[in-house]
Amino acid sequence: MPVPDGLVCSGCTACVKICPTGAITLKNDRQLVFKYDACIACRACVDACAPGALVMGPGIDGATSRGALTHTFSINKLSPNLPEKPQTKDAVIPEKIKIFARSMHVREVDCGSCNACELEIAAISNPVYDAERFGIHIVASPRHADVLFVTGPVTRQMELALRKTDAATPTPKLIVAIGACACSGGLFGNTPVTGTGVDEFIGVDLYIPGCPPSPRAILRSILALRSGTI
Amino acid sequence: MHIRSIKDIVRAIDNKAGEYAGKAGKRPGEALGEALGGALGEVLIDIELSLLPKLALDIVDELHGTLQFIFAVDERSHNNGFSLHHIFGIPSKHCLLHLKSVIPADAPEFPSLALQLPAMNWHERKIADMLGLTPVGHPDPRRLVLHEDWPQGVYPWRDDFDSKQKVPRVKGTYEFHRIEGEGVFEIAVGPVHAGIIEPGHFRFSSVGEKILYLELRLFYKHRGIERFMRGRSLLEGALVAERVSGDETVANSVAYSQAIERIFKVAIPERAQRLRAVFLELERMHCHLADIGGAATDIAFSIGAAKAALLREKVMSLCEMVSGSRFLRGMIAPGGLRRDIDNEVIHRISSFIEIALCDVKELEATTFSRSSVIDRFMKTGVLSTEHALNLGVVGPVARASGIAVDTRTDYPYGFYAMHPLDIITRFDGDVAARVRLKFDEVRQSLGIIEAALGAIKSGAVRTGDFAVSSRGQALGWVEAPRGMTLCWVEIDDEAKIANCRLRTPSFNNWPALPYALHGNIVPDFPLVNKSFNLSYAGNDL
Repeated sequence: MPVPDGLVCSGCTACVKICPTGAITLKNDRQLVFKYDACIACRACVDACAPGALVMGPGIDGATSRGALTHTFSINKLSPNLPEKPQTKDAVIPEKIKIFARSMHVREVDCGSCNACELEIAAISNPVYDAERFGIHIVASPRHADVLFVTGPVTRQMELALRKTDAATPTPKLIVAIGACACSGGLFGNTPVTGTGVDEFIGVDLYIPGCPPSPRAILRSILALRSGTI
Repeated sequence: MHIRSIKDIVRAIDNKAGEYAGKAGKRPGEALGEALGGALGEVLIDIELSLLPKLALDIVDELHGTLQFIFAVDERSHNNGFSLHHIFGIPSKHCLLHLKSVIPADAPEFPSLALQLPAMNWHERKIADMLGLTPVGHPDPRRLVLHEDWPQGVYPWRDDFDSKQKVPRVKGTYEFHRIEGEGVFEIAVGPVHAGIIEPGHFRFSSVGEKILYLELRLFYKHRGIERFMRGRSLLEGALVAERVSGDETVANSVAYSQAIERIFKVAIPERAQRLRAVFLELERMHCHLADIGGAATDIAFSIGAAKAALLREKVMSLCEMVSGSRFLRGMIAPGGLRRDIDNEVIHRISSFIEIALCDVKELEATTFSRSSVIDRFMKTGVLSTEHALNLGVVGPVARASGIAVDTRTDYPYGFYAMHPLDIITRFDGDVAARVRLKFDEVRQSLGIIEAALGAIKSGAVRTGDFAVSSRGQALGWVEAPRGMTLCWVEIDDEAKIANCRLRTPSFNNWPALPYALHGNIVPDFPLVNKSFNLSYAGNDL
């Protein structure tokens, strides 16, 4: 995903204009705001940036709110790194997350993704990423699930199925929105036939951005949530 | 030329072929305005709507064409009607014949061909849903894309549809076909499935374990992509095309980009053509390997599934190293590639070929040396050649049922015009044939990558100034991992997308699945479905 690389930004707003999901905005003429929940990592802003002040960095890991995926940079002094994460040593892990810290049974619900997110979620169980070693197990029914992984902007024709799957999952449960579409509607959100992401319909505990997020990013984000480091 | 009969059509095709043959020697690609090097490609002919049924059947009977794609566009603002487009593939002439007719605004209907050409069943119903044009004489006029809670009389592809407003839900019912008889019962599956799979509803009518009938109910993932394309810039169009279907990222964006390049009559640089072919084949490899692994998973053959996943992961990592994206996103745009890759990276791809060939050989030996695999794969889910032909099936599913169709050979484009391929076919039409074919095609892809990189020279990877307005329309075509993808684009005066229609191979192949399942047992459904490897996202759009 695009990050400032420390060079001077000219404030030309070429990136703001070209971003297909409106993930970049200019605030008070002096701050560039990146909403990574909507970023589809398409590189259009990087290509459009004449002074070369933006580069493609690694993916951004998940967060427990959309707000935490918004990063603000002062222009003319773009910071070379992302803002530091809050201290996590004394983090209090909510009870609801703590009970899943060593074992998580996951049901996946596709609500209109392009299938890239599904392929990456399926990949976390392959021998390379091997999510089972962390006690993360994919199950076949919401009745067996502690966690729902939800992808897609939530299409009109999947809304009911999502609500029913959510209702069929016993509490306590965690809802994880995976991918730009699920986090914010992404490229296809907010049309007559699509919603603006999962949290328009059901509560979300973890947002994992990316288009799609890599299996590494998905695993890192889940583990970070369980260990209370986000 | 005024078209009256099939003879006029043949003459029009031959004239155009002659025209191209005269110019091709001098400036291949450029002179053709095709970026295709010698292939005839799309031939657009205007016809009268009333002649359509006769001409269509004659094209199928006499020219051995297959009707691939029907779409329609609202042109009431400037043409006093809707334009109706029928695209036929005629492999013997290397021609994609594009018949265009006009449906008057005051009589919004057109003659249905679905009874004679069953492949057109879904195409015509989609037009009815999206534009409110009635296919007269259609055997199954139920809704297809829009579900029962979509109000009557609201047509999302019409110009007067308000794309800013939510559409209210109404009460409605969907009637499944009912199979009746002693001991017949229904099993309803989905839309949310047991694995990490896309959503869709399957309604089995069975007796005991045996499937008598399967009805598909899809389009849960309908995102309105074709309407969404309207008014987008050319770059945005490529970004949208990349996100139509995850493992067809390159195929869809290349099909879209080729349509734009044909509108602007731009031939892309040879380096870009070669690299596009490399990306297309890498994509085919990871798609096929996911499929081979998936078939192993579905018969609980863990070692095969694990080995396939490991090899696929190697391909995905290679893609990430090449482009920064495991799905090769952000590389393709109209005019070529968005950026070059360095020679070190090209070297890494070349050196991967040998490793992959060894791994593929081992994986195939592991898979097909087990009697448990043979037992589950062979004679399971047989799609007969006749059904495959009648239903207009494309890609590996068609080739495994003995039909030699491959867009790369039939309508060559880009690097494939310089590098002719043999079409690989198998004849059994069962799961074993489809899985075997995918192994063959992975090996073929490695050969294509080797050939494309073998003589690659440094140079530009992007050309063309697409800012100058050039109103026009054209078709782009690509052999995606699942078969032929067709993308038709119309550009307005400001170089923005006026209309876009997309047909991914899955839209043609889904209706064939129930025919392959007839008489099979319900527990074999996941395996047969996996061997078809159908995309829901690419189908539902």
